[in-house]
Amino acid sequence: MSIGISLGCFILFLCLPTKISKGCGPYVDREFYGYSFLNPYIIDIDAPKSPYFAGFEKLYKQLKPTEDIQQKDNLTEWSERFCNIPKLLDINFIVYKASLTQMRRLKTLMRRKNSQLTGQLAGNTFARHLHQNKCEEAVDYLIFAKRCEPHVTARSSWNPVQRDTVAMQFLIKDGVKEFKKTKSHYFKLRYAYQLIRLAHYKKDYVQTLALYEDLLPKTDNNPSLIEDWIEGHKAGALMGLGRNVEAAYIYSKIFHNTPSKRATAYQSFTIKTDAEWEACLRLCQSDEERATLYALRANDPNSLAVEDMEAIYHINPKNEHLALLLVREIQKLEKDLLGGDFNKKKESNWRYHKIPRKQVGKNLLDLLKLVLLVGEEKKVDNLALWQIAEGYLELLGGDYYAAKNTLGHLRGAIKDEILAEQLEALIMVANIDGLEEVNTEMEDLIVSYERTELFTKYPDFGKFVKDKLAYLYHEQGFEGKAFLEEHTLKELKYNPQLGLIEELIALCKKEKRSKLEDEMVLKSDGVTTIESDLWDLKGTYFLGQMQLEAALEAYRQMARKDRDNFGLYNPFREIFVDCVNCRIIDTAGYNKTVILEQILELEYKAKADMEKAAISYYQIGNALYNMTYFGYEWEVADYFRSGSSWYGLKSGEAVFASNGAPFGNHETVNCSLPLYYYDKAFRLSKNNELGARAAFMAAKCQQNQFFTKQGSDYSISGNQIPYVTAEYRQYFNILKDYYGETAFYEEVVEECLYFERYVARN
Amino acid sequence: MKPRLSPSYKITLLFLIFLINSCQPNKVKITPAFYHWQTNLSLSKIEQKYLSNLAIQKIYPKFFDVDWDFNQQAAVALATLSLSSDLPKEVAIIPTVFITNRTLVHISNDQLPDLANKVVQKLKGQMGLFSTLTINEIQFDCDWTQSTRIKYFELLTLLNQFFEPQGITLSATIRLHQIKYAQKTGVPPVARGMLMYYNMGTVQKETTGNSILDNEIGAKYLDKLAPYPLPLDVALPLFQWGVLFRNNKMIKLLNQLTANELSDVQRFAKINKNHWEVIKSTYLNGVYLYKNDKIRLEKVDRATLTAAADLLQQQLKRDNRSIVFYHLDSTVIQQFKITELKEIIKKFERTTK
Repeated sequence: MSIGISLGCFILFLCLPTKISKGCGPYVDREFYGYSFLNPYIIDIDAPKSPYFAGFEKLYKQLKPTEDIQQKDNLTEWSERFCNIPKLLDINFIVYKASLTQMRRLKTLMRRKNSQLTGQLAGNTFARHLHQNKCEEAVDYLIFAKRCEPHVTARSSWNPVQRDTVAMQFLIKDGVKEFKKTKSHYFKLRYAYQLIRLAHYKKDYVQTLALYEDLLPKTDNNPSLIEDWIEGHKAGALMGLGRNVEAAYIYSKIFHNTPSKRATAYQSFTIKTDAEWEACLRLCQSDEERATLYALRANDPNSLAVEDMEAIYHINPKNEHLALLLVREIQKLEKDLLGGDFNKKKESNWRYHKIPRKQVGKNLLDLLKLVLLVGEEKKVDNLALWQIAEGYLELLGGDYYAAKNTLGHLRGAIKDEILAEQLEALIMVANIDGLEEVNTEMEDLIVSYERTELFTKYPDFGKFVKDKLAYLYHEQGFEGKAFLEEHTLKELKYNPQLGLIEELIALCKKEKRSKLEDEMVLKSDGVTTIESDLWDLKGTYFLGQMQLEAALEAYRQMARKDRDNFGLYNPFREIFVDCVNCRIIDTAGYNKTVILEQILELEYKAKADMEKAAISYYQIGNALYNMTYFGYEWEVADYFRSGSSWYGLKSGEAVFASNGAPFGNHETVNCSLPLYYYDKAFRLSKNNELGARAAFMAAKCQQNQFFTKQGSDYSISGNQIPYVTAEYRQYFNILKDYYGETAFYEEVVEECLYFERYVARN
Repeated sequence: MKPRLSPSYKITLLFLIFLINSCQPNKVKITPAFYHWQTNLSLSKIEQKYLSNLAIQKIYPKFFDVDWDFNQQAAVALATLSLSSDLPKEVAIIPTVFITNRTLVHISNDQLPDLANKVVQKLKGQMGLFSTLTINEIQFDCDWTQSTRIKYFELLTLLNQFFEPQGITLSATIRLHQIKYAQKTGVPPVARGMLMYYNMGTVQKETTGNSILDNEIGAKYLDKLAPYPLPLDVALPLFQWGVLFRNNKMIKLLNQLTANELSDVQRFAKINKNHWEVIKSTYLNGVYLYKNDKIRLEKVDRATLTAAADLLQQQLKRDNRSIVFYHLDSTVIQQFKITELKEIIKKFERTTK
């Protein structure tokens, strides 16, 4: 007993408010939430420019892991130069990894008769090829390139060493000599690249251009990517000299022609004024080049691209950028408009992303106007894409009739498989989005959609359908169904809602359910419904309100065979330890129905036999107390208990915000009913020891009421001993004044720190 | 032999000295200064003269930024300062380092000593550019928040461990919200704070009047100024910008934009005192503007700056301090006359608290 009391006191005042992390607060999800039904493959996903326009960045990351395109292209050129004889991996080693010393050693060995390669070079097919064929020009070039490397490589941002411009100039002199000496135009071009790059990194822009003008005409090579690399350095030098227009023009050409330099060319492309733009357009040699300029401008994430798309269309309707920009613009409009009525996160989309854009209607009409023009003039290569776009834009504009009409007419006319599939997906979107109410027929239609391959293939269909149905169910007053579209039954357990539960019970009992309703209420076996779970929820709801008869009535509705499935408990123990995580393992566990029946039986006994009334009431008090938020069997009356709710108790509320709990988390904090029974117990008790215990437990109930009253000044932080105000310490007074002679009292004073202090204070 | 003063004479003399001192105005020493926020520190003759006439004694050049590189998953140094001209010898240099808050969000606690070491080494290297000048203070600029304060303060502590033995003190910029909610955001472990009395409105909102300097907003924060535990210098704004809105969403800031640049009526229509509408799609300073875009021009005028000085001097503790103008730029010095800035500086010489 003494251990029980001392432990109880300890737990009650020092450990009861289990400290929890303050990081458990409601989680704010700031990710944009919306739907997209565009299949990335409707455009040429392998087109090198796709990533810049189409906006399928995430997909691209999955499909095409980042790799050094520049390095890969360069190695391919080296390999072709040597008739693809050496292994690519070996070329990679020699070009990018071998040291200057290794290259010089290779050169020395090449000059010796009957020499053998050693070390890493011995097994390298490229080194062997160079050695056997005495490719001196290649090795000389590689030696020179490796001498240049330290001067032109990027340095750590933390330790930028000043470039040694003297050494760089010395290398340029050397390189010019080598350039002149070299016969191969393949290597002449590469020397030119190294020299122009050195001058550029040296920030001698005049020399960069001079070298360009001097060396390039002296090369007569096959087309090479090195030429575009050289152009990049020329553009950089022009920028450095303030010749912005020429630089922008070169960057646009590099963007158009050179995948390995596309990213840097896009970043470097800069136009400052209208005059520069006009001048740059004048520099363009073809419609293709002019269209690229417009495409580069339209690519800004915040652009209103239709203006530039129109320009591209008028320059060249067959330009490859057009389709890419079309898809990107539709993606933006999808974010703005698709499911705008029923998107469950529309508030946070606006708050954190300013989506939908305020003048999105105008943007939609502008694009639709262009799409209609394109459809009418039929000058583009991929007309079907534009025709589908027309239907989808009508759908995004909310004109379901026109959308279904436009898309429906295209059925059978589209030969391209991917576009045909895209069409079907959008027709399905139009049918779902256009629903104005849900009835059995519609529910069956939705289920038939869910079972199509298309539904699975386009992953956003799932949430699109759920959100749409939830919205319509809300509109039609089917809150239970709406709940199950948005949430799981588990989420209802945080704070059971009577109306929802009753609606769902009725749904379980419904004789002829739709297929969708079946999906809602049938368990995985396809036969059993969730009815018993709902009765348990209903009973638990009433228990949480301490409405015992109503709770029992609900539990009794549950099939007997299921009653043990919802936990076995024993809340009748006399426990002074308020330790919520200390479930007492006991062979004697009862289901909730039995527990309530026993409580009611105890009440009956108490009324029938006054001699035993006190102990019966005391036992009822224990059972009820132990089922509250503060007791060890809290799980009888609740599914989820959060320690963090302690911080909110003084709000006087019983429902607390919790992540994943749509209606908040209800806690059974009301101790009025156990207090009522403890009060009766000590009043009727003729045994002082029992009376003392009942008074002590009543005092605990009152203290909990003190913690949970609105505006309570008790703070869990610091676990301080509470100073319970006079109106909440009546039972402490009773314990002190009437049971001061009991053994229980002695133990309480001796073992319980707070009570000792309380006695001392009073 | 010197004549001896009688005790009563001495007391009278002391009293007179006390009286004379008491009659002195409540002056504190104000050190005028400028931030320099460009990557190349090259002062033109006009700028040097401007600084000299204004008796500028300190320049706070931004030495580099520290930002988070998502590819490398590491903090990187960006926008390193280069020096292209000699600085006046009488001007003290306070190296300043801007650290983005996202660096602190993403960096782990384990990475902090390495970052501190890199910052120290980088600063040492950069300080070599100013080898003729003695450096006594280094400033760190970061808009830290409640969630990043522990890491930021730890970083400052690590930096201080290096610089303190060398006689260099650390200071940190303090935003208004960090003053008002000092209990939440904490007080950085440095010797001085630099109150940044600007950027106080919500620039992203279309309805904001002037996000750079709005004394009505500023005043709401200033009651917490006197109890703030650090001695405070004050930074005041001299810059201006255009805020570009497209479809009611803020798109970007157009730095140092002037009304003159919006005077072409073929391209821009003035809506009211500080709002323009783009009537023809056009390039403006490298930014392509679309028809119907809106621009809010925000600048600091003399009257608002004077009012700011009045407000601040009423709330600041009576203390010697630097008044630092943000920032040194040829456009800025064209907009503010030397006499105007001198008046502003003078106001701070009479703090009332």
